[in-house]
Amino acid sequence: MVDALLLLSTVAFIVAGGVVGWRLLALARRTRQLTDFIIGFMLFDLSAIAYPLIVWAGVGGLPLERARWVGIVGSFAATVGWAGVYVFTVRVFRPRVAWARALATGGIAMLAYGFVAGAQFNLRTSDPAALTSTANPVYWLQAAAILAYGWTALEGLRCFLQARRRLAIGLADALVVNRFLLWAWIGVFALICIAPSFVIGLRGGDYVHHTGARLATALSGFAFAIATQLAFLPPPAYRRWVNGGARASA
Amino acid sequence: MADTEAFDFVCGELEARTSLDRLAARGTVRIALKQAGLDSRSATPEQMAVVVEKLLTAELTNRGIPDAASLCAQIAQKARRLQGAASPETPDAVFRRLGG
Repeated sequence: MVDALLLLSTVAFIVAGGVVGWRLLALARRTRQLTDFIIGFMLFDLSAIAYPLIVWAGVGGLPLERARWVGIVGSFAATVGWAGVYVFTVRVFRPRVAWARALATGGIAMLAYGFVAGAQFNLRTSDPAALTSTANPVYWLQAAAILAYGWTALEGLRCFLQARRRLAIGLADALVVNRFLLWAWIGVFALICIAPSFVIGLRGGDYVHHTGARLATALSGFAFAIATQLAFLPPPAYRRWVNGGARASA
Repeated sequence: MADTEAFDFVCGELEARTSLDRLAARGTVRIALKQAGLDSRSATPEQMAVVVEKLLTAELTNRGIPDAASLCAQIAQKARRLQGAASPETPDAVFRRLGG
């Protein structure tokens, strides 16, 4: 049951993130805006490249040598994608704010360390189980990703609360206000995808086969896919619902 | 980052046309901006005008300023005529564009 749910969730996560990321990359080509490119690339890279490779390396039953290289390429793609989360957050929500730049720089440094140390570990180890063990410093990558998603979720929530006040006096668009809230949820769901396995792994547990972690990952993967779709490719019915709700409360 | 021209303009008008001193005028406008989820460093002339019309009137009335509604209507009208300086891209602008 959990296996089937996890498989469906993985497919939903990859398809939704990939399609929305691709669509935002197409938007970036038209607008020539770096911010649009960063979010499009980040979503496409993390959902359609990094995540499938990491899953394949971890549970794909590959021979050690192949699993090692698939894992390294997947970790590199994840490192670049999560760095994109930091850059997007600082550019959009906290431009020219010193502490935000420092936090983003620190987060990206953690990512770089996690990738390099994790890759060296993967190249040295001769035990397939070690690729997903607590000894693998790739955990730094997950820690930095949790920090990035937590931060961007808080910024999304802050902007949502501010924009909701502007909406009340006609200075904001209901869909944009809703998109801030969905962005906060996207951050939370992405965080939940990673956090349980990170915590279980740090405590020495086997997160790959932990039912609770798998269930949390599956459910948050579905939620991530839905929130991403509604935020950046909302169907007409959803647009009508959001705009109608705003008119009713005006 | 400095306050916008629109913010400085509204504060200057309040200072000149009411009994509020510079500090009180700026503080009152900042309170109204905060209620609107806006910032003195990024508020555009149009945003300032709406805040003056819809929120500042009540703030001035609470501070005992006579005929606050008429005063605010006049200040808002003048604020709308200001040229908004090219402001840095706001989160609103980015998230509006990302919706297609």
